[in-house]
Amino acid sequence: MVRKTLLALLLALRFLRAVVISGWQTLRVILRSRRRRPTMAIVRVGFAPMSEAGAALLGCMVSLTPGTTTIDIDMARRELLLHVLDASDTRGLLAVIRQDFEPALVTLFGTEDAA
Amino acid sequence: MIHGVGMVLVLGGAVALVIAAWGVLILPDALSRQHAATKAGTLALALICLGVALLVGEGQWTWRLLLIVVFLLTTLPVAAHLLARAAVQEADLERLIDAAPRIDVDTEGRPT
Amino acid sequence: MSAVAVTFLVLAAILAALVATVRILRGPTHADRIVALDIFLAAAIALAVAASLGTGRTVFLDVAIGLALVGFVATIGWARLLERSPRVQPRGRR
Repeated sequence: MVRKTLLALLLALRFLRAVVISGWQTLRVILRSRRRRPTMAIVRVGFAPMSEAGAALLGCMVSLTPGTTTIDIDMARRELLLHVLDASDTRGLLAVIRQDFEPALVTLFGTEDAA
Repeated sequence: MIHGVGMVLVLGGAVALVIAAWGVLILPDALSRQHAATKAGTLALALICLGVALLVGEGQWTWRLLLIVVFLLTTLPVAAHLLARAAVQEADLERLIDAAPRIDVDTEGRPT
Repeated sequence: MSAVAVTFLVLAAILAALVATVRILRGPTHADRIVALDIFLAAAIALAVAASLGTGRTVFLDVAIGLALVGFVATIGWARLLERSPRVQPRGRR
C-alpha cells in the first residue's frame, strides 16, 4: 500500500516534469517550423496489459510526453493511436513512454491474465 | 530575489503565450495546431500563474493561482485528446490512420 | 515592478488573441477554430490574472478560476458537437 502511494506520487512528479518539457519542446518546434516544416506522423504503439483506468491514465500521460497526443485507445488490440508532432525521433519519444510511465502504471493497474 | 524570479516567470509566460498563438497560426494542420494550443498554451499560463504567485507572495493569492494551475493541468490531456479526435473526424484522416505503422520499442528505444 | 508585468501580460494577451482571430477567420476546418478558441481562453485567463495584479484584488483570480473551468467544458462541448455533426467539405485557404 505504502509502495503504491509512493509510486503514484512519483508518477505525479514525472507528469509535472513531462508538462514542462513537452511545453518547451512544442515552443521550439513552433519557432523552428519557419525554416523546417515539422513532419507529423500517426503511429500505433502497443502497451502492457493493464485495466481500462490504467490505459486511460497512460493515454493522458502520453498526451503530455513531448510531441505526442493520444488520438484513440484500442483496448482489444492493446494499442494506442498516437499523433507525433515532430517525427524526426519517434523511437526516442516512445522509449520515454516505456521508461517513465508504463512500469509504474503496470504496478498500479496491471492485470495478470494476458501476458 | 524572489521578485526577480517571479518577474522572469511572468515575462517568459507572456512570451510563451504569444508563441503558442503564433504556432496555431503557422503550423500546417489542425492536429499539429492542437499541440501548440494545449501544451504550449498551458505551459504559458502555468508560468504566468507561478510568476504572479511569487511576485505577490500572499497566501490569499497563492492558493487561488495554484488552483488555476491544477485545473489547467488536469484538464489539458483530456482537452488535447478530444480536440485530436475531432480534428481526425473532420479532416478525413481515416486513410492515414488505417495505414499507421505499429512501432514497438524497448526502454532503450531499440525496435523489438 | 508589477506595472511592468501587467503591461507585458496585457500586450501578450492582446497579441495572442489577434493571432488566434486570424486562425478563426481562416479555418479551414471547425477543429482549427476550436483550437484557436483555446488560445482565446488562455489569453482571457492571462488578462484576468493581469487585472488582479493591476488592481491588487483577488476577485479577478476567482474569475480566472471560473474561466479555466468553463473553458474546459466549452472545449469538450465543441469537440463532441463536431464528432456528431455530419461532414461538410472544408472551404477557404489554409
